[in-house]
This record gives sequence, C-alpha cells and structure tokens, in this order.
Amino acid sequence: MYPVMIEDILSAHADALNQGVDHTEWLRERYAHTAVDSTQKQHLDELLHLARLLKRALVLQPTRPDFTTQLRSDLNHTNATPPVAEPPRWLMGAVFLFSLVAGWLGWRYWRRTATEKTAPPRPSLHLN
Amino acid sequence: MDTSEEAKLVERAKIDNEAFGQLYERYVDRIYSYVYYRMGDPAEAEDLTSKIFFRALQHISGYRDQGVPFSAWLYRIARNLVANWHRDRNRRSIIALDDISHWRLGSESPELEAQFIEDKDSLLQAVRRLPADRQELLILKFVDRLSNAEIGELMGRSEGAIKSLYHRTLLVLREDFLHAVQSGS
Repeated sequence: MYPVMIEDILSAHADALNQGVDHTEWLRERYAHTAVDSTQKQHLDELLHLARLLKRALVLQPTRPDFTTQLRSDLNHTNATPPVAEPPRWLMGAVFLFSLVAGWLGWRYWRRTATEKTAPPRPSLHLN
Repeated sequence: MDTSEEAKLVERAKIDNEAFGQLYERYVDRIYSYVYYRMGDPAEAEDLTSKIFFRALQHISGYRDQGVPFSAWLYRIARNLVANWHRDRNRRSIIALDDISHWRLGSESPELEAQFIEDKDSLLQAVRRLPADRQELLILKFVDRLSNAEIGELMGRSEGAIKSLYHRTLLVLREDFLHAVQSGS
C-alpha cells in the first residue's frame, strides 16, 4: 500500500465520518489485502480507529446563550473604529531615501570639517 | 448563504453593526469551538472569543475580499490571538474534563463509553500537544466538517498538502496517544 493510497483512504474515511457514515470496518476489510504485511494492516487499522475517536471527541461546542446574547449586544453598541490609515508606500520610500541621502551628506560634511581641524597648519610663505 | 451573499453582507458590515451581528451569529459557535479546543478552558475561551469579534469589528473596514472565505480572515484573527494567549500566559492548557455534558456518545455499551471517556481525555491532551497548524487542521476537519479543499483555502495550502498533513498528523498523534494511554494504564 502506497502512502498516497493511505492518504486517500484516510481522507475519504474522515469525509464519510463528517457525513455521519462510519466506513471504518468496511475500509479495513476492503484494503486489508492491499497491505504488504500485517504491520501495514495494523497501521491502517489504528489510524482509522484514531480518526473515529477524533470524530467523537472533537464536536462543535455550543456557546452559552447568555454569553452570545451579551456579546452581540456589546458589539451592537460599539462603534467600529476605522484602522489608522497608513501613509502611502511611495511616501514612506521617499522619506527613507531622503534620510539616507541626508545622513550621507552629514557624514561627508563631518569628515571634511574633522580633516580640516586635524590637518597640520600649512607652511606660510614669508617673502621678504 | 453563498459566497456572493456573504461578500455583500461583509461590505454592509463595514458600516452597519446589524450586518456585522449577522456575521457574528453565523460564526460565533465555530470560532468559540476553535478557541475552546486550542485553549481548553471554557471561561477563557469565551473571553478570547469576545476579543476576536471586537477586533474583527474594529478592523472590518480594512477587510478586502481576496477570493478566500470571510471565515479565513476571522480564523486568522483567532489564530493570532490564541498564539498570543499561549505566549503571554506561557502555561499549559487545562482540559475541561468536568464539562462532559457536551460529549456526544454513541449508542455503544456502557463499558465502551467509559473507555471512550478515558480515551477522550488522553486524546484531547495529545491533540493540544500538536503544533498549532495540526491542531487547526483537526478542528477544521472534525468540528467544522470542512473538506480538504476548504481547509486548504483557510490555511493557505493545497488540497494535496492538507491530505498529506492529515496523514502525518494522525501518525504523530497515534504515537503520542498510545504512549499516553500506556503510561497511564
């Protein structure tokens, strides 16, 4: 039995369970002969059984009527706050670019002034 | 209600609380169940369900129909808030074992039913130990009774990927569940 085949069997089984039909026993008998060995057969049996248990355990949980009524009323009396509009992307991109350029220009200016301050004084020419 | 009707209702809900109320009525049980199984505590699940719908109300004006069901948008809010809850509280979920009134038992023998109740406890704990996407898959499949294609739409995966994930989830769950049952007995 190929993994894809098992996947198909399990999915069909779950769909049938959701429609209120339990094909577990039928599927076990139907596909028993396609199993390579008893381990594979047991493997399918266990997964089908597990799915059946899951179907019984996971059921729609009814909400308390008091809770749903109260929440509905609270929601009715709440004004939906529109989400804060984000600035357009092009504007955010432009601001980012401007910051980059300004930073680079600032850095260049700082380098130039720092270099001028630390440079040795130029020799002056004395022409007598 | 088909998809186009729902899309119209969602558009109305952006400006009309009554329309939002109709969406709420339609989804409150599903969202509550999702939260309940992810968290395990009914009171906390109610609290978080409220937050989910309030957040949805606040943000519905920014909702854009991108061809996926409205429920996918709601589930995304729910998923984020549940993840925040787990992260913030950093605590283990509590299984509401005392709340057995909701269990739907079949017409099997009392012995089998008693066994199922024991198994259910271990099984739900094992489900909650699964990664979030796998818990979500099982809840959408068995609680919401969605097909693989529908689950794929909600989770942003292909139908084949969901089918495969379901198989792998059962495999992991089987190991964990059997281990829990054996160590408990």
